[in-house]
Amino acid sequence: MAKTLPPRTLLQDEIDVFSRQAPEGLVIAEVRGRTIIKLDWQGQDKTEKLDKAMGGLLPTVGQSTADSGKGALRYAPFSVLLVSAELTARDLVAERQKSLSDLGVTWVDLSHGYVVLRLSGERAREVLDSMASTDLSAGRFNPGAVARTSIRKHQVLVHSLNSSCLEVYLERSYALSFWHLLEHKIALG
Amino acid sequence: MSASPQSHRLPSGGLIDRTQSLSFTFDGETYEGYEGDTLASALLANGVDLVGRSFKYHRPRGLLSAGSEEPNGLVRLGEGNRARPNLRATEIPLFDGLVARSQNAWPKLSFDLGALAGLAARYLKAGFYYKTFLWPAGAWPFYEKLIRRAAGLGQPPCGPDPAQHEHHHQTCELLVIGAGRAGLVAALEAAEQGRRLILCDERAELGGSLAWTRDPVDGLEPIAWWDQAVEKLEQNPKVTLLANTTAFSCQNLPLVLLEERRPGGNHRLWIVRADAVVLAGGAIERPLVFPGNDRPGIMLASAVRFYIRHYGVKPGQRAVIVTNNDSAYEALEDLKSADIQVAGLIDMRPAEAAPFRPDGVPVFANYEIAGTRGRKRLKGLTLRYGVDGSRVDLDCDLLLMSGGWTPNLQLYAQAGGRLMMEPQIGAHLPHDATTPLAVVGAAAGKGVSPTAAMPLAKGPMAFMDFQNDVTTDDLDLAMAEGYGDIEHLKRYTTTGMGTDQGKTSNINALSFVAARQGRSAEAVGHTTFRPPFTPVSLGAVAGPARGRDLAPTRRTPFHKANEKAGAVFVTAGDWLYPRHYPHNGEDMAAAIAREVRNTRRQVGVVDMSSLGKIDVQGPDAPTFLERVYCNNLANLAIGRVRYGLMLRADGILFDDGTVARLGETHFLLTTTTARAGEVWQHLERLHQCHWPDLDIRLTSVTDAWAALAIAGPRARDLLTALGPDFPVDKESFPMASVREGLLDGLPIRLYRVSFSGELGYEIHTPAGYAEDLWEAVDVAGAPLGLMPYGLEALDVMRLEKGHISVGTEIDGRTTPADLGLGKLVSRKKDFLGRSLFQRPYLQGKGRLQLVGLQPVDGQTVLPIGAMITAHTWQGTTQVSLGYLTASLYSPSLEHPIALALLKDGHDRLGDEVWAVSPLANQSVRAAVVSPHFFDPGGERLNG
Amino acid sequence: MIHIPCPWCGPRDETEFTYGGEAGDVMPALDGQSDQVAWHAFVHLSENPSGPVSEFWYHGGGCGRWLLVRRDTASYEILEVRDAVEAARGPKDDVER
Repeated sequence: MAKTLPPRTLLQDEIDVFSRQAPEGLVIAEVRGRTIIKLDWQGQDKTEKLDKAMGGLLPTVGQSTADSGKGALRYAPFSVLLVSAELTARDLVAERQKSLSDLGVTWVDLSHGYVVLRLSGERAREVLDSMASTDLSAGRFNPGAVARTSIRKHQVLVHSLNSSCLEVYLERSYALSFWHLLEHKIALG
Repeated sequence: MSASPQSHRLPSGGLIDRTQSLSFTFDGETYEGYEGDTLASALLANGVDLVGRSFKYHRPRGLLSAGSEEPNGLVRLGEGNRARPNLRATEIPLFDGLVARSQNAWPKLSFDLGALAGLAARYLKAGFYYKTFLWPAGAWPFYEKLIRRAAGLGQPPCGPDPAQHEHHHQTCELLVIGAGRAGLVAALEAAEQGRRLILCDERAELGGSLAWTRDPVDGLEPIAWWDQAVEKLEQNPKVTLLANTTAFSCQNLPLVLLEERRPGGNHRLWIVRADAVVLAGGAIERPLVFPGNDRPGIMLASAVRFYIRHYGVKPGQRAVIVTNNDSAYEALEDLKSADIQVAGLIDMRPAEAAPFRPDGVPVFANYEIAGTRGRKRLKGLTLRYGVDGSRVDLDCDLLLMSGGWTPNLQLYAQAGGRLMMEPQIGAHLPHDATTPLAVVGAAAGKGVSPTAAMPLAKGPMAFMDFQNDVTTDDLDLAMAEGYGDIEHLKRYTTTGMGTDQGKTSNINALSFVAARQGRSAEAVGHTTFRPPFTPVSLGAVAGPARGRDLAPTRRTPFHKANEKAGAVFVTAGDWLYPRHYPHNGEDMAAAIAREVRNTRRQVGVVDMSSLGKIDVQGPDAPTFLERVYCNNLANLAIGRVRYGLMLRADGILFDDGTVARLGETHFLLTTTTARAGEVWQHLERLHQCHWPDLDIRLTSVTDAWAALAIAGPRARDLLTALGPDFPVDKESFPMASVREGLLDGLPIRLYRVSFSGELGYEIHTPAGYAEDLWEAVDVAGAPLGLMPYGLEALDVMRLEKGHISVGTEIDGRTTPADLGLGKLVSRKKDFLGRSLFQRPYLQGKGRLQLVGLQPVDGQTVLPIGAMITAHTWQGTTQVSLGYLTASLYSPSLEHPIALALLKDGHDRLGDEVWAVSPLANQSVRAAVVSPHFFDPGGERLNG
Repeated sequence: MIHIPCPWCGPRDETEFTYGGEAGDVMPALDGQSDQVAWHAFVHLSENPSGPVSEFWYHGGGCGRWLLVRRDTASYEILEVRDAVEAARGPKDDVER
């Protein structure tokens, strides 16, 4: 029998230290146990078919959709990340297994490849925006927007949940290194 | 020189806060100033005339200006590692406890031995650096010492900068550079339209010349208008106001770089992307060029006005004004208000040009200055009448000069804007309407005084460029020596170089050159304007990228487990990788030897998570892989792994790794750690740019999986003890197998592969389970003698096996054939690199080929990096037959071994050669052997 | 330059991209009929013009797509940016050379 292990967090120690003297208007948390599946397909024609198969929930590039605890984040033309707090990777795909394989859509489980940080509070956006060369300001990076961008050579996927809450998907091996940059920025901000 | 406290402060007036007294030191003397002062104004208020020595001749120099154009007043601010050299005193806001020192003077400012250089002036003419290279022969080493000692301005601190610098990305709809009157107007207009904007100014206060001009704005006194304008902007949440912030680069619009100098010496680099940029940089007053125009007490007319009006400072007692335009006449009222006596106004133009006839001030029309006197402070002038050459002497301690105004267009020119010489003002204006950014106010020539073209003075020590000590004689000499082009003149004479980049000298120099060459200033052109506008601290450029945060650091999923196990880490690419795991008191060599022996005798575990891992799926995946690997993969069965070699299109070996077939159309590749990023890009490129018709999907899964390799004679015992849910005996799970399953309840992918040459397995598990896997392995391995081993031990074992590695043997020049892997290259299929791999040069004789080397004496480790020669090293030239790629003492074989690339090495097994290292002064006789030193038959591997 | 308008991500900083060289000759087919001269031209020869040129750029810091960028090497002006796949699949005369 496969063990069911509690998904571990990577930055909890750092976040605990930070939270003890967190500045006003900024709360940082690591999102635990999020299932992240990457779907891939090839060609524009498949995109439309997939959208139909997903009941119109395939977001356009740079956007996201959400439906009963499941989200879809699209940062590239022929890929989309399906995310869920409750479903396992297998369950998340199983729902659509038939239509996906009919369409030739493949999937890879990347749940363990990312560390997801949630930044909330009125300073959250400003901190992240000032670190990224990409414009993440409220007027231009609206709720629902998704961008994969590079912050001092760290690849991050940023998801705007609402005007004062953003999630950052960090590639796991870079997570602590990014945390150091974030801390530095917050301290001097 | 030291004066009574603030002896030169006016009893009232100025925008300083006289209730806030600040104490500071300059060259060890303590002074007082007020909140709102700059270091420059506070020094003047204390009667400090002398602020520096000139670069070449060490002449005494005082402040020329009140702004960023200052060529003379360069100081070292702060002490120890916080010290910053070459800061302009005119731009340093005064604070309590400020410590500053003058530069370029030894032993002290008032008595400087370097001033003797002034006596040697005739040897320091234009191009003196270059001439010392050439003549007299052999003298350069002597000059070099002198020049190196004298060269450069200021001294950088030696240790790490304790200040905290940062980068700040910002987008906006409008960026306004310069917060003088024109900049404020532009910002107010945009703010009213609701635009998101940034307004920056290099000075501590916004306002620019509003502080000292008298023309009313919108019916208000300039200062009253300024107050209400700034207030309006401050209250607008869409407006960011940045003082002490210099826009220094507009070269890559819409990207503009700003340096904000924050309290405590902390700098913030603003990386601004603006939809539109307005340049309101104002204009810079030009000095006049006449003999002895550099004595302390000779200042720009506008600077004197600035010091009086803005700072309530009285820069002298008895003044003379010299001008070639009307603007300097406005200084008369300011001088009067400061109770400064005016000994005369010299208007270099004919009498009728004067805008008005000032009361009680002798006017010398059509005069020029023939000379000045006073050693450390101006004492007087000699005038020469333009009509008959007759002379007049005037006593004064302050000279206000105005040679006209230069619109501040450096940033405009950086952005690619073309400049046009406007003879009316004797300076450049923006050329046409299609400009890269909008220019407003005095920078666009608005309100700039027309200037008479003047014959430029002759005579000794008529300085064109104060900071670089370039005189008119230097320019004449350079032109006589054939340097006629303005760009050549700049380099040869250094005019317009240095920290001020000729802000006060460029226009004068090119006007002078034009007059001498009998050409128009338009024809002479101008030198190229490049960033930065004013010098930027390296700290601001580096921002957070220093020390630990210099570059991204990647950590494997086992990082904490490795820490607990006592790993010493090493940086390998971006990765922080366990190098070795020393036991108590062990040095690195001992730890490595122990780790190797333990792995070869019992069992070891190594973190392999940094290997690149690429998931390949899709119906055309087999075709794709057949094309990108040079070895045959077509018959790779599901559940099997194969070693793979990838070539570049030019036939050179690119990377090696494994290809595992997980399903009919599902593969998992591993790459080397070093090339993981490049291989990923390479594959993506081939797919997207060249073979878009192949239906495949690539996903980098490096971060999603943790990988541990266990290796050694007891590896299978360990694996069995871990309780896999499938059989792992020799028959069921032979060499080069792969399968998915559970191990101690953890989902895994198990590979039977080995880099160490021992019976080995790689266990991959989702990264979040890494610590559980490590713990399980640790517990199960303890009774079997398991020890972790690091990168160094891994390298020793691969070398013992003669396995190739990226960076040493895969070096961007070798082919598989060179490395003894020619048999792997498929002769049946076509693949990327095949065609050019077959080039005669890569296939013929004379290639450097991989061999093993062993010292003939059986004990001397061959020097690392040694060249291979036919004879021992005797200090003479020898033909190189190749070189060593790796060399060490083998703990398993108990003698030294090395890998080398040797010319035609595959045919030379058994030969003896010399491994020579002139650097180590070592020559070792070595035998050429097979690179497979340890277990060449592979019995252990297949055990 | 400095800002490259990615067709998928919008305008992005140059630091997110990797230069991939000129998009010159079409890569010779891997059909066993390898012509060393064609491969030599593909690998080693480029036009390097002062003026407009088509280049490959990889948006590794964003969508992960290879792009075909038409750029003026004299002015740094970006004239056109397309996804490399879309460009390769478009009508033949749409593809540069």
